[in-house]
Amino acid sequence: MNDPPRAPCVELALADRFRLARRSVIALDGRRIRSAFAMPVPGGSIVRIHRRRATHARPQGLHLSSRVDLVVNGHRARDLVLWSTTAPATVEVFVDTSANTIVDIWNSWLDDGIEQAWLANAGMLVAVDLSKVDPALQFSCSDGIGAASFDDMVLTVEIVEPVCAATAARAVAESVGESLDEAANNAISAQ
Amino acid sequence: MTANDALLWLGIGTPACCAVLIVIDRLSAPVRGRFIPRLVAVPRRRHVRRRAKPVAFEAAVASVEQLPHPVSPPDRSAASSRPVATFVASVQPPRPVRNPWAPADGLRRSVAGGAGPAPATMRKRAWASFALIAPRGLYGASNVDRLERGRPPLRYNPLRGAVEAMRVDVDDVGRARLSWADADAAVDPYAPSATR
Repeated sequence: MNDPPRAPCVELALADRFRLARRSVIALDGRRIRSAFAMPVPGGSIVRIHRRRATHARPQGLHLSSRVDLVVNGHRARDLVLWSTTAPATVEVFVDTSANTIVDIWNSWLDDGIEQAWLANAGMLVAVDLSKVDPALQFSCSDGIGAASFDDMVLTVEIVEPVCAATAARAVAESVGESLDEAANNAISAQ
Repeated sequence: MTANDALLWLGIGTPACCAVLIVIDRLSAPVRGRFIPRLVAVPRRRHVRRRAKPVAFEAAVASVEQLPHPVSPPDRSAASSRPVATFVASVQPPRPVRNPWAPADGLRRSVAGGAGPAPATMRKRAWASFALIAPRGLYGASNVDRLERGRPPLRYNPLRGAVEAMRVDVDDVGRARLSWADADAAVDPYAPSATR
């Protein structure tokens, strides 16, 4: 007796798995794959991002979102995207708050001028690197083009513990454009 | 008093009288549209009014047919056997051919009736056109099927814990700009055009 015809086995993309699980983290082949990572950051910290590798096939982006202001390169915003084609290899992001907060991080990529994320085989592997003084996280990102390969962009995110008031004032001063002396005076008077 | 003077005295022949006569004539026969042949059989009238002098028309046709033709004369027998309805349809101006909008046509192309398309219609057209170039491997088969039906693609947003749709904005010249909601709010601090 012949077996009934089986439906073709369709390999689900990572985006379909995230959607079916309705979660930002899934387990696949013994690995925990994330579509976004909620990174706890102490207030007043500096998040140092070092890009180790990025494919040249298409611009790779790192998207940061928070409920508090993030200050980078003199820009203040709550949603930032650092592109591999424009941002330097090392970027420092000042988290302008005195309380602990959450910074959401996920990878994106440019496809025909459209910033894409959370499609097809997009995902991240996050590992903790405890070899350094400050805790560091290593992000291995896969964009949605083609099969899942977590070497499209590799970067290290280091959280520098709460900085001194002068350093924080310097970052704030860069964002508003005032002189560093005025910022230092304001920081000293605030203390 | 002559007969013309008597008619003028009665008002017959003046423009006002002519207008009154035209109105009376219209009221007596209000429907004077173009001739529409009856396609169903109707009983013939008992009293048929004969046309005046049909012989003179036939004679004129015969005299015209005797003239030398630069080209071969048409087949009269075939023309006479043609149904009247077909003949009437052939002399009517051709009806405009409906050419509906198709993907990759202009988004602002007029709809039936000559009116400009509504914004929702232009968005639907933008998605249908995007379906031609959207990579199926990136958006998935279900999203491409949605695009072909003029619906936006969907993705799961882990921050909101919900499925969200892509957005499209069509400008005044019919160019479509596609984006996701979070991408619009993001700032690239190292963009060349970024202002502090």
